[in-house]
Amino acid sequence: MNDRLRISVRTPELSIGRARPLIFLLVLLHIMAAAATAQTTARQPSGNQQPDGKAVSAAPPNGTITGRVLADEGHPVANAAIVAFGLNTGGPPAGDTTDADGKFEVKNLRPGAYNVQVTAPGYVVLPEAGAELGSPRLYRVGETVNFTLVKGGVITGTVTDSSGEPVIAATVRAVRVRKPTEQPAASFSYIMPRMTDDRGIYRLYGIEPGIYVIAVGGSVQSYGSVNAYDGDAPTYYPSATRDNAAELTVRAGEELTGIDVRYRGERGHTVSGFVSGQLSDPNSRYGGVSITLTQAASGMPESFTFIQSEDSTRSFALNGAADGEYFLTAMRNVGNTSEVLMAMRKISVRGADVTGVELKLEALGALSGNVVLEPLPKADCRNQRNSTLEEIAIAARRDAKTKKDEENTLPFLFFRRMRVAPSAKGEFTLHNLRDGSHRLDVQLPGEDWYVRSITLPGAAVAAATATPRAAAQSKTTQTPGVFTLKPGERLSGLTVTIGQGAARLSGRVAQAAEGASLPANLRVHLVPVEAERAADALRYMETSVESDGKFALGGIAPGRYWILARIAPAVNGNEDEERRPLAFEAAERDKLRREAESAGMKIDLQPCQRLADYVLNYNQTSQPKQPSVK
Amino acid sequence: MKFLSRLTLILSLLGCTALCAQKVVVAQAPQATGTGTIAGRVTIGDKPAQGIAVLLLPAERYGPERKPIARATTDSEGQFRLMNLAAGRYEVAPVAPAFVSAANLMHERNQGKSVNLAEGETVDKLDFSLVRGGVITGRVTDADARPVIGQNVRLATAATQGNERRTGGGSMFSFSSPMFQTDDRGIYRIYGIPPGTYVVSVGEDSRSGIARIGIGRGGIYTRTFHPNATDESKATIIEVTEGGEATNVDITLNRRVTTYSVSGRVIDAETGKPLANIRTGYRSLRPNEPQVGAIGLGSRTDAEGNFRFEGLMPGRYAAFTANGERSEDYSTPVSFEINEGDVTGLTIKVRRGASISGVAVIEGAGDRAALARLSQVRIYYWPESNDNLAAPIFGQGERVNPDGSFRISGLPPGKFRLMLGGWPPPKGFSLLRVERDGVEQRAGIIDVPAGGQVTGVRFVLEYGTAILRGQVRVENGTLPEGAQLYVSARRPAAAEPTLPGVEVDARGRFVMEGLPAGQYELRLGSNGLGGGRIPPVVQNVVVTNGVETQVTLVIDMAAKDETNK
Repeated sequence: MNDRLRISVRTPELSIGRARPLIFLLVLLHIMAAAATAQTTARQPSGNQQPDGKAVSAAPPNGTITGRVLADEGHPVANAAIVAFGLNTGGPPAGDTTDADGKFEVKNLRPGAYNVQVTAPGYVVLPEAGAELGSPRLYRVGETVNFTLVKGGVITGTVTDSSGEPVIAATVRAVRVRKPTEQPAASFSYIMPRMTDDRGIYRLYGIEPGIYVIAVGGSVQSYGSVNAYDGDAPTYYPSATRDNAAELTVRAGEELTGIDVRYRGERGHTVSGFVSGQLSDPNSRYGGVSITLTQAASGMPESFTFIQSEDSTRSFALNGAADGEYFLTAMRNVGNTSEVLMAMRKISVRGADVTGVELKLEALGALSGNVVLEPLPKADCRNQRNSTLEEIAIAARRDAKTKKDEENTLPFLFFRRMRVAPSAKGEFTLHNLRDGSHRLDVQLPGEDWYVRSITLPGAAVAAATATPRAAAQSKTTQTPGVFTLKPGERLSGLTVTIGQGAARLSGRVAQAAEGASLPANLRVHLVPVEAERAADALRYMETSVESDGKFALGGIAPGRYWILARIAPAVNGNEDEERRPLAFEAAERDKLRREAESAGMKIDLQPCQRLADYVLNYNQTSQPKQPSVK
Repeated sequence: MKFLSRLTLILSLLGCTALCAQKVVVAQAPQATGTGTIAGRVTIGDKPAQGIAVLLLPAERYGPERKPIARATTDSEGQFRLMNLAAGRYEVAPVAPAFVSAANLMHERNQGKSVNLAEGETVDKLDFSLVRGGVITGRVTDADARPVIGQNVRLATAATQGNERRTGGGSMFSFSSPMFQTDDRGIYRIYGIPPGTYVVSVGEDSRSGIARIGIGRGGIYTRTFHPNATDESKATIIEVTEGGEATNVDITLNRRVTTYSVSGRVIDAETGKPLANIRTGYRSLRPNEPQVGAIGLGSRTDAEGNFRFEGLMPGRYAAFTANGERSEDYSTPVSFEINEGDVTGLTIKVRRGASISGVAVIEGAGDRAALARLSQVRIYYWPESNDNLAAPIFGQGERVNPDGSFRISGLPPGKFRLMLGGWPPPKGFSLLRVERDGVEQRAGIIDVPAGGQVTGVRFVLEYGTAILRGQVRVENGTLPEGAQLYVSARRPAAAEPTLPGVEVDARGRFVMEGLPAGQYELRLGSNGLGGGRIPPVVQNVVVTNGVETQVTLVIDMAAKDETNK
């Protein structure tokens, strides 16, 4: 007689309705689907390099990645979750939990490049200091990873309304506005939002060091569950709009108490519109478009919604937007792949609703090709690591100078650092590339290989026959490994040639002037001597110099080089930004070459040579003054 | 890094593609512009509750798009007024998370009331009486007295009847709510709990859990009840009183238990070749409980067809490939047992599946509007077996093409019941019958042979535009507190209601829209809450397309005594 019960039995999906708050999770998950398939990461953990930065053993058929997790005070962290995402496998990530001694062992891994991550509640992983040119470290089977964690900061306080009553079940978020180093935040740091309890008390923990503002309420919390604050603009600590929010400095392990917020309860504006383009996918039973409103300045997602693929209205509405600049993005997966269609608009909310925004889903670009391994040169090259092509990681780094603010606010930074590994045959494809200039960044296993060349057949011909203007717009510039994509363009047939028998150089930079110390931000550069290699950016090498003057460079193509130590140009903007090697800027490259030539220090590196204890004299007076970009 | 790792973690755990797709169809939100008004009063105890947000929500209570249509705040007298409302079906709910409805302390969705609002109508005295819920708070520590951070606390009702103790299954609330999580000090605080008796636990048993990546030797916590009992019958029962606070409900966890990993390959049954990019999953098998235990979804197989689940406790399971993606294939789940050690070398064989194809038609169709909306129809298919081993079916059913054709593929052999999909189904559509080669199939069940291609299936729909507006009147007594009534309509002698049941609102009103013309038997049912039996009410009614029909259903509470005696 209970028809209601009968209904719930015959309609399986009703059970999802019962678990309504779960929808919050599901919706969030959807937008992450592509990101997870692509196995990207926002930031690589701080893994300690091997003492000489060299891989220790030959790659076995299957093996382990071992390591240890320590807190900065030196004690082991037990029960930390370790996950190893294989770049080449596309298969299930493998993991382990640290034991009482902080040790872990991820077993039965196929050869490949792995992104190893650690999660320990309440702790944060500090970013690796001086990560080389923004290339997060990958680990190969047989290698060891050591993580250092610090206790995250805590912010706690009470939220009350205008009459002093507690504000209950409101979402509280910490939004990072700057890193501790006072540079603008490159990317928002995700701190798990928490809710106020029945007394209005909230407690955020596990916060990375930095400068934060605290936001209460807003529509970010309304995914699938109903609350009293839906449609409100967030109130910032102490009782402010975003522009007047008080900033809080969070240090590792410190607790900020009494961060009380007087909730304003101001209504936000609505951002609405429709999605055009191909909404549904004929090759998938599923579908739907996720739409995110992101703060332009911080990259913090503010609001989120989802359109079903069969929703004929194609419309969306996001409420609770305070005045400010935002990016509005729509995204959906192509079939069951990690490819996405995307639309992105910058919008400005100024005292009124924003309506009629069209988000046109469009295909993104791709680069595909093959990695070819040259035979080992005749030279006596023992101790070469037995690497495989699958251990290579390839990424396309979009030129940060183009539309930088967009770059920082892409949904969850999904596109910024996507890396792929070639198949055993060397084939690779990089999907989801946006228009603009991309540099192909090839990370090689160990130091015995080097990138000899990156070529695209036809491109050279096109450049030779086209008018100068057309040549400037052609797919490749004179700098090898740099490709310019039009929206949705797919370039195929790239060949990445890997040479074996790379040389290695290590030593120290010595201050020529008596008693003077070395300047900070010193870098060692290798510049090819041959004039015909002057434009070959792949032949230029650079590395940072440690405070004691030590430096090491592996994976050097055998040949003759000028060697030069010079101060790195100041980084403009935020520190997370991908820094391109200087040689990829034609003007910088020419300047570098002139300086190296005039400094006149030359070295000749033979295949597989290990040149150690090299002393490079640094004469500060001979250096041209570096203009401060900042 | 933290964010991504956590999300990728959760993501891999749940297997987004499959689960995300289970979202319900978004309800069309009625326009908030009209001339109707809903007003009432919110009280806490006997006092007016000031500053309480009262939301007007779509009547459909499920879905990610359940956003408020309008909002009011109670004044110093506790009064609220929602104005300029269009006619429609709504839920009106005060939002007061620390409070529970005085009328119904045990109802999960205790605060909202449904209202069928007519054009220009004013509904007043929609009153809500709230009482402060209770609080349970405590600290969770491990065997070394260190705080256990970020663990979910489960709260379940517990009742003792004689010597027997009954506990509600898992969590009576969704434990995904942040208040069920311990903080960096191991402290949790759950509020807004209806008065009653409860048990509180942390950790997992073989009934709970999803694939946990990253859970290795360290393992997971065994489910432990306050204060430190792993045996549920030894759990200390917590009594929660109205507005009361149960403090120091601490839990001491034992050392973690070892969990194991399971790995294997997915291959083509015929060629023996490995299959890449196939999503795999597992479910726990328990002899006496055919329904879902733990379900886990792994990520996709790699180029060599390898899959892996991690973090499984000892027990019996079945591994399967997750269907639900457009595919011609299916696999037979493979059972395995974890004792003490990892399980390796499982092989899941994928075979070409059977299919059901045909056409969806509208009986007596001439209605262009109906035909144009045919592609909004989805056909659900559900296995008619209680096979313990069967892989769960994810997804929202198969779409019907604009020309009415449909094809459901990748089916294992067996009986499948075809149903009209969507929650709610597209307005106006109802399933009349399922035919195969011109023969009506009992209860819409199609028998599919192994690998067979069943064609010539007709999914016969009706399309209706009749509106039935009803009033439920209670005579010779009152309804039990908290009872929620539903009305369903079915054809005479039909086994299933034509349309899903609709809620009877706070004023005893209900509306059914999109009924096909004809005679119906209306039945009144309830959620069974509030105690006591509500006498059955059955009434016949005839409706006409495009016409609104009024009906009154009378519940004679005096009849209740008759049936009970």
